[in-house]
Amino acid sequence: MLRTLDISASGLEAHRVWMNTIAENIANANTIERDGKNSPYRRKEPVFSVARNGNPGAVQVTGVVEDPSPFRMEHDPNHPLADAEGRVAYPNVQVIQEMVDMMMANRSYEANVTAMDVTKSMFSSALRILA
Amino acid sequence: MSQIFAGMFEGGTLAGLERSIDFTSERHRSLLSNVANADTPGYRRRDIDAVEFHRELSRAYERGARRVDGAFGGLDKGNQRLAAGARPFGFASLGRGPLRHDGNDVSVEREMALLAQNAGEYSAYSALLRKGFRQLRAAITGRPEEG
Repeated sequence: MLRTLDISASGLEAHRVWMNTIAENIANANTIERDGKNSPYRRKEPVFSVARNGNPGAVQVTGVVEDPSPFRMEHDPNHPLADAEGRVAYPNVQVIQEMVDMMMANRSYEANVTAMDVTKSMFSSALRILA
Repeated sequence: MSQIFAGMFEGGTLAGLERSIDFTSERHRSLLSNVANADTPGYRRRDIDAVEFHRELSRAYERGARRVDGAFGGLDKGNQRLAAGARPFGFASLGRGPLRHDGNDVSVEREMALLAQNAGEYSAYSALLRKGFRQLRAAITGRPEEG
């Protein structure tokens, strides 16, 4: 019974990782430079999977992958980082999408917290059996 | 002497409650997995068939059998405990929810409702079990149960 809390804890952890990734994406939504070159930030997202070993039924983050979708190109010949055709590459982050993802991650996190509360109340009713 | 205890134990009430608590705590586990994996691509919800469990339990009582073996493991009323070799509850993909485009069919609302319902059943079974033990203690000590 005690290990059931681990399942919800894994859910909390996974959604916190997702939340961190979203925060990173939003913070870097306009990051276009690295080492003096026009090398924009690539949007990242976590990969969730069912834990195979350890606690069966838990969720785990198997990694954080980069979104391969193309960068947003803008025509701005006066920009210091513009290429020969006068284009500047911007990150493939869409802030609206990140906000929607953030709400989803938040709701799922709350659902796991509530599930933990239910588990705790079940513990206490089990402990009362011999009271 | 043995006859006194026979009357006390052969009803199988405590064994049935114990099995029901086992069942609800295992079901709780699978519902928690569903909530934790609500955003895992390709995850199908897992559950234990409650209807089948209750059907089997009531069949065991109707028959008045000392021992009933079924899909949910044995119920050994004579020994007031689960039969040896009782099979663990099997998780099955009972998902009937609509499949999302990421191959996941968990509906968090439904899981939370089932979670609340199942936890209520668990509390009820454990309260009954507690009552059963108190009555047993009252019978042994000869003092009325307190509280």
